[in-house]
Amino acid sequence: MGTSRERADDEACRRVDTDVTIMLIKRSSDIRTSEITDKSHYLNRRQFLNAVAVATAATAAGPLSSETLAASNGAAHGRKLANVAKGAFSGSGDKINSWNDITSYNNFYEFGIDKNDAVTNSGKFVTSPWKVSIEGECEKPGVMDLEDMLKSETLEERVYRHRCVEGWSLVIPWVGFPLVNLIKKVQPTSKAKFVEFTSAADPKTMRGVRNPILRWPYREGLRMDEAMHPLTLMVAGLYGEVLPASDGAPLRLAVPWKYGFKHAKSIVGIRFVEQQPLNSWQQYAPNEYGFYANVNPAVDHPRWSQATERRIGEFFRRKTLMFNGYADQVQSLYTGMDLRRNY
Amino acid sequence: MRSRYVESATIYSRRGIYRGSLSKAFKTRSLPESADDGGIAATRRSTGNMSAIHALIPRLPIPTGINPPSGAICLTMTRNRQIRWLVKPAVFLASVAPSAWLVWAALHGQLSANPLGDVTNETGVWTLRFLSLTLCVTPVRRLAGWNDAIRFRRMVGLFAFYYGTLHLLTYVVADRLAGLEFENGIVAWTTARDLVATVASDVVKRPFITIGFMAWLCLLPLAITSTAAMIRRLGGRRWQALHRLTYVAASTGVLHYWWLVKADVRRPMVYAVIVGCLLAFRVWRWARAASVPTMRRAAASIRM
Repeated sequence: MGTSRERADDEACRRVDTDVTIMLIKRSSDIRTSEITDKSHYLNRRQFLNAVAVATAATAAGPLSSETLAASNGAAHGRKLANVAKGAFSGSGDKINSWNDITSYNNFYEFGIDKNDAVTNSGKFVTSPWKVSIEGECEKPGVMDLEDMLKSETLEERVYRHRCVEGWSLVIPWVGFPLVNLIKKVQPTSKAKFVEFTSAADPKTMRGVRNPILRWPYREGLRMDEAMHPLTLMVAGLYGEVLPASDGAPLRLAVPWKYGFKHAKSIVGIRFVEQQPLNSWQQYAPNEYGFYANVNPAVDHPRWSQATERRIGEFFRRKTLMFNGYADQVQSLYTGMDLRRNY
Repeated sequence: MRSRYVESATIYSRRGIYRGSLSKAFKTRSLPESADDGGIAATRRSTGNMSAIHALIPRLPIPTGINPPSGAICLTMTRNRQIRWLVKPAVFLASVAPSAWLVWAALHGQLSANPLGDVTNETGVWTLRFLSLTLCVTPVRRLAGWNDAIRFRRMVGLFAFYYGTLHLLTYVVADRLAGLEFENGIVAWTTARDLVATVASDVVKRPFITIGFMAWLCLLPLAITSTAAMIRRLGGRRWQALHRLTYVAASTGVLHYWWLVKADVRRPMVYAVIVGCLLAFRVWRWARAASVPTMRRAAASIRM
């Protein structure tokens, strides 16, 4: 039945074949030097093909696995920061994690819920110019340009242990200045009992914000004495370079004796308030995340233990230290407080 | 005797080899005269589930009167052989692939900075995927009429157990063992003791671990009784009843995922919807079967 049709098809195929052949025949002189692929491009092409091969492999098995998986490609390197002093706490004795680990393994829900979403999805995020609004109970409120703010501070490097509430930790060489310096400049009034930090929340450049898991913008808070503690750092850099977007550029907080979620990222607002502010995670699940969120191996998260932690890059879990190992510096802040209740 | 015979004959028909000579085959074995074609069909329908189970058994003694397929290499494979020698191995390889990829990716730095966390998550998610696939088999047969799907159910189900076990082992080793103190070194009986103690206390203490462990415990007897010998030993009905534990395993598995996420429950919700629909299909069928008046049930079962 189909024989005549098959024959016609064959004919068509042959015709097409011939056409193609004619089109493809080129004598060597037809190739001009300008058409010869540059060697670097050629090599790029190889890289590209390798990348494609990896990507294809990843799509073959991975699409299905895309729920959590991603290679640990870190953020691109930024400008070197000038005049970074070696500050106190600059050597904690712990092995410092790599740039890749620090920039690719990170919770930054404004860019997505996976650890590598921050580095993957923060490409469009603009961190310069950047303004920080100082509000509330202080003598000198106003909008500060970040550049001016940083110019008037001496940046120092501090190697801090960073413990996530999920049970993993990193050792990070932050670059920044003590928050207390800034607080002294803006002169909080006697009514200022707490500091509230507000993070950026631009749905155009931060795709995670389109997903209302938390109530955006992200908010965090510290008690005044915590905020003025010499360990509390306003961070603008990492590894001596400008802080990458994935890690909370251009300005974030580091409070090393508290769980990671207390470290507000991409800060746009600092407000001095009388009442204890409601931080975003506490608002989301008050039984799981408190206001203080001090690292405490004795007080478990309702769903998992906080007794041990996995230092990124290690197999065996470490014992989690009280106040993340900064007890000598900070435990006096909490004398007489029930830390089981004030988790 | 008769019913058993009919069942095995059905299998051959199901495999599409001797469909044409079925009635002849029966006649040569001098079955009761009432066993005409209609009778066979009715019996076959009413024992539908039984024969489905038997279809899983790779080799049944071939009844005399039916010539066994020739051992010669045939270029045109029977459907049965296609499934057995081409499709099944392909499905097997595809099912192993995610775990193989995980190992490869872990060794080549293609995972995140916390590869053990990735392996834990991935093996867990793959368990849910394979459980969902297992639950798809019956709806696919009933709704799409693709009866051969049954021939993959055991393999897919065992892969659910495979990924579930990998998931459990990753947790035991990377989360529990790695958190021990090893006061007498790692190679010491105290290590085993402490490991059991820490796993047990975690299972008791944390609801999401409790329920995840329960899900795995449900899968264990199903994997053990997945062999043909066990099916025969238990008998079809009891085997089938036992294997309804799959429903419990899938539900508790989804709950386990739901309870462990920190915020955003969209991912566990996907599995909740899938497993929910697949279980709802069963409920719908049972409800429908129960609503058919007793007198008409037999007739209806033929039509089903």
